Amino acid sequence: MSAEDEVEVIEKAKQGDARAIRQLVDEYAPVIFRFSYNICRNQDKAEHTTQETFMSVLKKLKQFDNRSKFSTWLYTIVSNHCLMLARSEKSRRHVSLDDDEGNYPEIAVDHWDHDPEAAVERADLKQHLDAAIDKLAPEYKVIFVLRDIEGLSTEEVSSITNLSVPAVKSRLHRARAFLRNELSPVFDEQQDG
Amino acid sequence: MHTHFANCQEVVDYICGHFGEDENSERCRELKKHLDACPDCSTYCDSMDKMIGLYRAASPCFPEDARKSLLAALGVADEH
Repeated sequence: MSAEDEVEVIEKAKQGDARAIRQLVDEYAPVIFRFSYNICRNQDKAEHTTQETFMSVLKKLKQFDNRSKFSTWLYTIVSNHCLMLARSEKSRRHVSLDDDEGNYPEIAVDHWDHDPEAAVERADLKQHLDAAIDKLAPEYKVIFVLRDIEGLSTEEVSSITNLSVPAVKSRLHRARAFLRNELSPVFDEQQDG
Repeated sequence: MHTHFANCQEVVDYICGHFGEDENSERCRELKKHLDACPDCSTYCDSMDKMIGLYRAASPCFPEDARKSLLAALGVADEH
């Protein structure tokens, strides 16, 4: 959908046009679902969050004034839904990465020879990936997924999360280093074996 | 066995903070020069890319059933 078409579709959706709403769903629901899944790593929860996000979007659509990108506005809404869901699951324990803003985690350097596409076919690697992601606090996961998985700029992530650019960079570095270090033993094992 | 290093920390911080930004900046050129000469930094960046690739590859598609449920919940189910 071109930018001009998108503006027109949004205007029609604001008036309740069913076809326009379906167009927005077809364009953005896969993006919202993928983002949600990457935060919660659970298909049912991701579907639920996608639905909640679109309900909010339709409710608030008249407030959208085209001053930001529509996708940025959507990411703000879905990020808030993901964080709300994560905070409601208080029993889950996440690793704290907040200690000493100036101190970064120690970095392990080792070779990973595996192709990601092939590696994910291995059930054990996928399980380890899910377990590592599950340990990461949602506030860090949101930053990592927006920046590295969705490919948004640091400034966009800062705007979506309402954090300063240095705070985004700091959290991003910690999240990357944490996930990589968590996965290193699995990859080392694959290579040693 | 892992090798821990501290002398490349500043370079790695820079990569993590500025990955994908203006490649022509003086600092970015210096960074590339360092990366070419530093096997530890190259290895670290390569494994970061693979970790991100693994995360991306493990994302499922939006199921058709979920799309139908979403459209119904929004009151705009497909016309037949």
